[in-house]
Amino acid sequence: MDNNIIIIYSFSKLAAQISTILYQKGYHIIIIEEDLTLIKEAKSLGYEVKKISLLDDENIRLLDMENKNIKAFFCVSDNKNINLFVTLSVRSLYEDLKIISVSFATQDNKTMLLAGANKIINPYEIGALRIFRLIHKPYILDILDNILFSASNIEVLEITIKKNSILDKVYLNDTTLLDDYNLILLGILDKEIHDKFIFYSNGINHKLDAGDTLVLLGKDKDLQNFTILLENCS
Amino acid sequence: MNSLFVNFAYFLESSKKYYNTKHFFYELLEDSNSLKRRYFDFFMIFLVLSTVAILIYEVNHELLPWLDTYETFAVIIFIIEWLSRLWVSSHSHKHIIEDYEKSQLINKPYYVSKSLKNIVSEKLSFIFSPMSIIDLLAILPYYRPLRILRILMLFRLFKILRYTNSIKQFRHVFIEKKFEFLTLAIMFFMAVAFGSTIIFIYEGAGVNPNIHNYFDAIYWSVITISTVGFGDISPVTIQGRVATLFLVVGGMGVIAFSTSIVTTALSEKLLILKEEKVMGEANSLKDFIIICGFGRMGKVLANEFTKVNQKFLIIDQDDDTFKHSDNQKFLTVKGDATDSTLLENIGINGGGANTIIAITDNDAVNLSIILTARSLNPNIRIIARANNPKTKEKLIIAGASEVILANEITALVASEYIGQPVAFEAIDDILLNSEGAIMDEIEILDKSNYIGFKLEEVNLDKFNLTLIGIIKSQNKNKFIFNPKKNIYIIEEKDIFIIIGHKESITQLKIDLVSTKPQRVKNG
Repeated sequence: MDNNIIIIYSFSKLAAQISTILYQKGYHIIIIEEDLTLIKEAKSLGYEVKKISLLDDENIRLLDMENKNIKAFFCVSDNKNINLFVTLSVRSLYEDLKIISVSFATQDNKTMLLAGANKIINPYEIGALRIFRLIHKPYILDILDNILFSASNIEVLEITIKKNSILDKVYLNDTTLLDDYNLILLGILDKEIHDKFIFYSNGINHKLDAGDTLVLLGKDKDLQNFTILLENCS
Repeated sequence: MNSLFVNFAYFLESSKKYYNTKHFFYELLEDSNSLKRRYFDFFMIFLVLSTVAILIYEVNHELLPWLDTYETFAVIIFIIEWLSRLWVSSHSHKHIIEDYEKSQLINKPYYVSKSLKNIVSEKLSFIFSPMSIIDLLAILPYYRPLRILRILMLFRLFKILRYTNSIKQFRHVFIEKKFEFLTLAIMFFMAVAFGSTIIFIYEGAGVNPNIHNYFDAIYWSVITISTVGFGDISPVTIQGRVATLFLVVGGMGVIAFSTSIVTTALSEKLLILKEEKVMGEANSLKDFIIICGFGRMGKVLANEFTKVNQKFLIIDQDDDTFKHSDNQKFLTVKGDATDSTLLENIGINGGGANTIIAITDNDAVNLSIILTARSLNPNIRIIARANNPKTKEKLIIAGASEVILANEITALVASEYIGQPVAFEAIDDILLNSEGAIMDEIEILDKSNYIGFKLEEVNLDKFNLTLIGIIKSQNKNKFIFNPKKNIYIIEEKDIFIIIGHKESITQLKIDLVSTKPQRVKNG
């Protein structure tokens, strides 16, 4: 797999879970850790481990993330301040790197985004909302689980419209293509409106352009056929 | 005669009507957790205050006839209340049955007089209890020929002690700090005796024109020691002034001492008072959820429950967490959630709790909560958090209905972001219930006008809603993804899975019940 290296800073409990899942998906995992016990544990699970401190910019430069084509950098230590520091340091050196950082309190999300993270994950928030749905929206939880974790044949797919594709310069209300393939459009990421994601339920008859990304929901076979159609008709 | 009493006692014992009536009065008068009693207490407080207000009005006004009638009405209520309390204070017929059955067991003749003696003794102990005496004294002033009795009207104010928990606790403060107050009283008495004797010796024999007798000396002493100092009697001799200095300094000590006793005791009681209030509220709740642990996850959960008006109660034993939760006006008990007595008191067994959520950051504590809760109620739903994936199995064995592995779910979500970040953002928005679109379920109720009509009759486009699919709750919860709108016929209890804005979803829910489809029904 090209571009399949994931760097995970710290081998916390959450990091161990992330590593397991991404490793199973075929990614090459590099763990950055200083604690000897955790290094031993990570090595025993088959991960590449680097014993360095990312509080020093020189060490971050040594990782050479630009040239090594890193897919994403996870900053998931148990210490909020260290996470902020490392996120900010990595962002200052690698502008285009995808950084995913952990936050343990909702009010800290904003600070982490300011530090440069692309995405914040908050295990407490996700866990609590899961309990909430178990009690109040059990059907939705079931469906979201099936969609997210591919437990059924319904999947979510993002497709970026290429230049001269059959969807390029087409108004959403003028095309029946999605209905033909039994697909549901969840929303669009519009390149023209500063990468803003718009839910389709906002009721806008959007004009599709090359570079826009569609988020579709459908059965795996329908999604495959639709992807083939777009590739063949561009 | 004996058999008449015995038969009547058995009749009462078997009478459901008698039991229900007595239970009703018990709930009304004595059951601190009953809502009926709360309303009754409010009514009685109003009655007491209004009759006292009438007394004050009567001082310099002629009593209006309707006020007289009102007073009669209030006194009748007080009498009925007192008699009812006398009635529910003990179960007299049970004495007769018990004594009768005992005598049957040992083959000896039964004498009703023995049972009556016990019954009368029990009733007398109620009649002579302090609160009962206050009740009786509150009724007496109604007898107008004896004007002196009218001052007893103030005893009605003491009746309020019965109806307010906080005043009851204040009374308990005096009972519990009896020793301290006694010491204080002795000190006060000695200081007064000492001061008044000195002033009387030096200024009593005509030296001070305002001190005529020993009572004047005592009056001066009390006024001085309490630091009130009216100034109507003041010392005129050196000895008297020295005594005054000592009394003023001593008085400050007495006041400081008594204030500290009361405030310390009251602050101790305040926590108990709050806890009792929470317990009372918990006992009156129906279908509520118990959250054990108010950490980071607990806070998010509590906020989500608040948004949908889900009733919940938090248990946490950490002081800071308790204060934080209490400040947010969440119903909170400070205590150990593994304590079976505590769980029982808040209604886990047969009470209003339907779910218990164990989300502390300690798996051993969560396990202990599950075991305690399960032992108290085999049917309650228990949702637990496992911090370590290896603990999940143990929590299920202990009796958890569902176990949440927060790190595992977060890791799964994060891994999705690597592959399809835009799709993930969309799902994440829905997952986090953010300001944008939400995913919701709408059940087709039996009164919906759309049952039997095609799906296209539901104007989803009008509300800008996206239908993901329909769950057939009448058909093993089968999920139909993106059903064809011109083919699918809506059935009762179908559950629509919708994505859209909250307001639109609410409006659709209303429309599905209140409006009618445009076209003719199919089939």
